[in-house]
Amino acid sequence: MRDGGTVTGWTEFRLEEDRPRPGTIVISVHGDLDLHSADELGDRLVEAVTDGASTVVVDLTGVEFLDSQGLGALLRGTRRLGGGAERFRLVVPDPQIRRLFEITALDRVFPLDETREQALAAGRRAASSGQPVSDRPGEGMTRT
Amino acid sequence: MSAEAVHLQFPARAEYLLLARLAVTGVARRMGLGGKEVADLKLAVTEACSNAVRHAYPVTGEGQIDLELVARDDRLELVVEDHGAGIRLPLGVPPSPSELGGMGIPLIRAVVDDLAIGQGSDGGTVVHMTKLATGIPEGGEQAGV
Repeated sequence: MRDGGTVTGWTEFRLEEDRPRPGTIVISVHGDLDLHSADELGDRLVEAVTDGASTVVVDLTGVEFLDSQGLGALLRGTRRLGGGAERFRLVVPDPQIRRLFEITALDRVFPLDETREQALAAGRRAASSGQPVSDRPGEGMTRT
Repeated sequence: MSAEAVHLQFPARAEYLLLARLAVTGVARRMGLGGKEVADLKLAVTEACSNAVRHAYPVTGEGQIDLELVARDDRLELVVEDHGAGIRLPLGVPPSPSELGGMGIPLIRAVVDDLAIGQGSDGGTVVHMTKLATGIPEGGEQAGV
């Protein structure tokens, strides 16, 4: 599964999970996120919350395609987590992928970061303060 | 005006959405379209085909999708047709988002230059999308996108 890898130009869909610290789960998504794969991500997000994660970071750096079904899976995840979207962060460095969040205005729902490090730092602040963390200059992604 | 057409028929199942994207990518690249336009076309064809997969064949769950790609000098036309239950709307009346997949139709509208949704001769749904070849070079799209 982990070595599904590149098949003549596209990447097989797969999820990887990392737990950099207690209570925080990073789910890295690779390949195309569409109707065929969205449920797998949605189920994994629900599992993460059920397992007690207080901060969930979904890293979309490896996503080559995203559609409305993928966005729907992410929405289900953040609703499940509750307690403030700041504890559900997305890493979205690709401008083409980020554009979907802008078209659908979901960039106002999801905190978007450019790197995993930025997302983890913001999630840590939210967890320690118990309050939502706003993006600050030089951190995360500038949203207009 | 010259035109080249590609016609593809495949099962209305989610695992074939990748095939639709590959077909559109191949034709768009052959036309010389840039990365942003190709990304828009992949999104549009996926959303249209996803609607067919999810809604066209509610009884048996089995059916076919016809995808036609017509490359013209100044545009690429994409026609996605199913042969299923239809959208039960008068022709020419745009369906509401809730009737056709939530965010899917608004996303298509955002990335193509023209969208028309109608009924096929057998009562299925026909989604006709047009993307103009604007000649914008790859990476040269507008700021903020």
